[in-house]
Amino acid sequence: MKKNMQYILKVLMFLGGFTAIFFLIQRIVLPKWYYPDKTARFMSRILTGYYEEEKESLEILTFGSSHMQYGFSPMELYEKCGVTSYNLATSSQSLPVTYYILQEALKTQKPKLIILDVASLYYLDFGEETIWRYVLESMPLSRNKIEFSYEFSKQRSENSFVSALFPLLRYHDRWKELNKQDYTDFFRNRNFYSKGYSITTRYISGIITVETMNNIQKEMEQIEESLLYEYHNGIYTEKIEKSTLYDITVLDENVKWLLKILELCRKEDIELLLTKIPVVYYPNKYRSAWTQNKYFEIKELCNKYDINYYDILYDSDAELNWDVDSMDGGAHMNLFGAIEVTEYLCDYLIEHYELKSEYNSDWEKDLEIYKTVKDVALLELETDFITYMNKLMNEYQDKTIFIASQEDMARYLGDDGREVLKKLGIKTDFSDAYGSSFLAVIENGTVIYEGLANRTISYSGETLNSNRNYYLESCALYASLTLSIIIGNKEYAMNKRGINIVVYDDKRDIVLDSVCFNTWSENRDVYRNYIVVNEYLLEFESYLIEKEAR
Amino acid sequence: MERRKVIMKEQLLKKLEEEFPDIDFTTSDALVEEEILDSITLVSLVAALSMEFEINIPYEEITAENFNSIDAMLELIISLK
Amino acid sequence: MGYIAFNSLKYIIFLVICILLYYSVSIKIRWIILLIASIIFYVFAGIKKLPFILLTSFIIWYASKRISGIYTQADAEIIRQELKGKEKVEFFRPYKRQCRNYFLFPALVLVVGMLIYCKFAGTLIEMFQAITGNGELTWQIIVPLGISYYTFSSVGYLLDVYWRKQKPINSYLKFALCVFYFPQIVQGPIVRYNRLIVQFEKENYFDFKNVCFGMQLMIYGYFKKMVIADRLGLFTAEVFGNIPQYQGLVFLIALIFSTFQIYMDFSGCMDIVRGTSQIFGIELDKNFDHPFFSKSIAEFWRRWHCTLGAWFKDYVYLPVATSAQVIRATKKVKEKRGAIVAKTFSTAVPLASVWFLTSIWHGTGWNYMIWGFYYGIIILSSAILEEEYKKIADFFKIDRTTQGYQKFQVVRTFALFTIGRLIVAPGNLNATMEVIRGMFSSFNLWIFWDGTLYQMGLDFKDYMVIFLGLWIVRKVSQLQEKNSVREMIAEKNILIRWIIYYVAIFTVILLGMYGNGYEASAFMYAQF
Repeated sequence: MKKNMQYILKVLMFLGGFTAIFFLIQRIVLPKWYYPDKTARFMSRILTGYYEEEKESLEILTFGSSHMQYGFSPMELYEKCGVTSYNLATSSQSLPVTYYILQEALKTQKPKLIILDVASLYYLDFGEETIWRYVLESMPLSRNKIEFSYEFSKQRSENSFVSALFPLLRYHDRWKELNKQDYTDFFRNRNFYSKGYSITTRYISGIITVETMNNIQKEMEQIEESLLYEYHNGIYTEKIEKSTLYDITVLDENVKWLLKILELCRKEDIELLLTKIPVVYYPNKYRSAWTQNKYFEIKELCNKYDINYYDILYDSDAELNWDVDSMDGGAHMNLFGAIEVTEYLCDYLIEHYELKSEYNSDWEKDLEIYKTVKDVALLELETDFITYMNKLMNEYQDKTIFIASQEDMARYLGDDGREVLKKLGIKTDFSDAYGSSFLAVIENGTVIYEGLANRTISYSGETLNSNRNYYLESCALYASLTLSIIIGNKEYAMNKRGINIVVYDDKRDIVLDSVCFNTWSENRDVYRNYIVVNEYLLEFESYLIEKEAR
Repeated sequence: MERRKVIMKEQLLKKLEEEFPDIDFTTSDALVEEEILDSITLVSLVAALSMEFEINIPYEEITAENFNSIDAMLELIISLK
Repeated sequence: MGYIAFNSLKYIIFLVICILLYYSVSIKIRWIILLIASIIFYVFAGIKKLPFILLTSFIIWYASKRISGIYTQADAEIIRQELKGKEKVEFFRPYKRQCRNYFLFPALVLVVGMLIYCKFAGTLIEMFQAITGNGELTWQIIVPLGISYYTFSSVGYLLDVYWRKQKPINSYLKFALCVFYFPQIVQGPIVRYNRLIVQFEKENYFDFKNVCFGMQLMIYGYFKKMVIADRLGLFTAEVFGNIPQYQGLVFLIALIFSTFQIYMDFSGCMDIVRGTSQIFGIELDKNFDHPFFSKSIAEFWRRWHCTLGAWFKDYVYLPVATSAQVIRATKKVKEKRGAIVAKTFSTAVPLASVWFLTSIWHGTGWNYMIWGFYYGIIILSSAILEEEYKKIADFFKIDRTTQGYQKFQVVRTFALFTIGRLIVAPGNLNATMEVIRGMFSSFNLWIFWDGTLYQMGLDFKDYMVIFLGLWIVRKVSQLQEKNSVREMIAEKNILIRWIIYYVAIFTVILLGMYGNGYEASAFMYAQF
């Protein structure tokens, strides 16, 4: 008997050790879906950040797909009216995923209001594996997660239930690509200062107007036959079938899950508000384009089940500036868009709901970070030369500014341009400088070098704090072709005609913006590689989170 | 009876000596188990005995115990003769 | 419901449930748990397959019962009449004939007929269709799980009873357990029911050490199969699946890999099987005895898939070689052509029978026929020409006792086996010809450094895993030649022991090839 007890004890200890090692290795091997990883940056920040929030401190939770993820900024709302909220939207979040995140979320918070973006009501299925895994993998093991995993496995292969609960079995192959980040993940800052919102500075102007979008949809609706004329291997065939081209409607399966969410909200005494972040895009190319017929359908649905609905595109008098508000031609918001959308939503919420506005010291600290990031983001979004230069002068005095010109920067520099350069401390007279090359380095508000030439000119030096070597080269109209702004062996210049500027944060060793204003042409067009610039922002943000945030 | 047995034993030993000069059959009484006789040797042995004594050894008699020693083989041959 | 693969999570769960039940019931009825588990295991593979195995087990059991009944009767009569020697044999003969004609032959025809139907009907019908050019297969041929294994075991058992070498098993249920016993049903080893039944009937107390050793053996098996064999499989599948795309040394590497792959795969499975069985206190026969240490092909085949070799030896080679007909024929040949030819004849006939059947066992294509022929010739020639080889060695003054020569023999055996793989690994004879042609089309040594080898599903890290894995298996084999590795581990202190266990388990979990495989790209760009 005694011997048996010994065996049992031994087995239990062995299993205990096994479990511990298993979870340890699992943690290491799990993909880290947060930046600066470039694949799916925010995904595991959203939920893990949520768990960091103080218990029962949030008033509003928002759900939905990427439209919501990029369209609503809780920090903007907090700054404006002091209401705390958290954006729990994730990529292509289908309604079952929403449901289980909501259940998980309600474990720690007692919100008054749930806001759900309705894009997912039009989904055809519940989404790819990844969409679920992003969420699943940031949840600790619990009953809810088991149910969630089961729901996940119902749509997939037989082993997916186990691999959802124990993702090591899914990702064991990752041993090949483990890097430092996988091991230091234990110590990363889990607090998410922007509360689920993904700040982005990419912008591509809207492609079509709301009106065009709706017209295309109507045209599509009128095509009710499928026609096919084929000439193949000497045989001609005609196929004409009854089939509508536009058949996007809400699926029953999705409504079923919406009702489950509604039921959960009512049980917990939480208001549910459906909303739609504007999406203006070709309806024939993007299923989630927010056409008016969808708006009517959702309205009807909401009336039927007595749910509040506020459509930011069709219900509000929102006048979004599609020239600058979108990051991809109308499908998703960038920072500008998010600020505006949040504003409209805020007005509506104040009017219709009684929400508590409260000072929260933790949130104040996060707001500081948010503002710092936002400032850089706004710099990166700035398109006007004069405003940009003024910003540099007023807000970026402690940064290092590299200026290099390509071919010419003087032709349409104008009086205001010359003025603003002079204010920055540049002494060169540009009045007779057409076709010249020009270089300048401004460190901590003082110009440490400037040079004008009618042929190639170069300058190299070392930054003050980060001790990086830099090298600048500018080309004149009749000499050489390209320019360079190299910091620590990496080229940062836009390399376009006009005045090329790189803003470098010397203390943090991060480039904040790289831009070119074409002062050779009358419009003084701006050039940026928005994808690259957005990476700069993320790097900056990531630095703040790890080094400076609470 | 006994005399016949002695003659047959001599005949058997002579045959074994002639066919398998490398193997010493007298040292062991577990020839099969100790793998002194492997399956191929066993086959040749069966063939040699069948031809020498003009007997027919059915397969069920080819067991370890019947071939483990000279005496066992002798018993087998006598029972089949 | 699908068949429970050994390397699936389902199998682990199934096994854990079995173990818990097995050791929680009274010791007398533990075998019943195994029987139920085995039947459930079989049903998972498809309920339609069940009738075949039930029928086979019943026929064999019934025939063996009747045969032994007749023998008991005859024995009683012999004792009563005090018959001895030749008289006894004479008296016995009609009884034996009765057994043979009424029970042994009909049973064998039925059981082997079922095997032939299930395994070859498809091929035969296809051939028939190819010749006549019409007709469609209107019914689907069911291939029962493990049919070759249980048929061979059953046939061996019945022959043993018929030859009076073994006592029959009285209880049908116990006999059925021998046939159904789930660890061995899929991949063997080919068990001897008389040896197995003893183990089921003995008192299988819970033995902590046995259970641990069983699990260790399983983990080692999983390591061989999932970490090494399946990894090698990526390479060989790529090369033999796209023969026209490759040439030269790539094929040589693929062949060598496929040799290691088949060994790691098969022997790994056997370790899993034997480990599983050991957990229940049931010792199964070894199927591999470090074949790659063999110095000749004959030795190799004694050490590779041992139970199949032993089966062929006991039920084909020896019966044929010692049959009155062959001995009589040998005698005639000896009288006419002399001793050497007679020796050749007496070795060749049973060998041919064995290798003919071995070919059929492994596959039905022509390539397997040639493959069997190849081994038959090698073994025959080395048996007959032994003297000549000696003379040649003496002539060149080669000392065949040195370590160097023995190493050479080991390498030679490996090479001969790899050539054997060349005949069957590409899939069919045309493919084999293509591989041979491709192999000699170019001596592309540069593949070793131009990155070609990294384009076949394996990257540098995979190669490292493979080589390290093979090295470990070799080391373990060398240790095993001397004594039990598991005993050696058991002697170490608990810390080292546990570290070894944990490392082994997590090596399989991390490095094993299973699941969908993770590709970062599949997770990329999914952010909207």
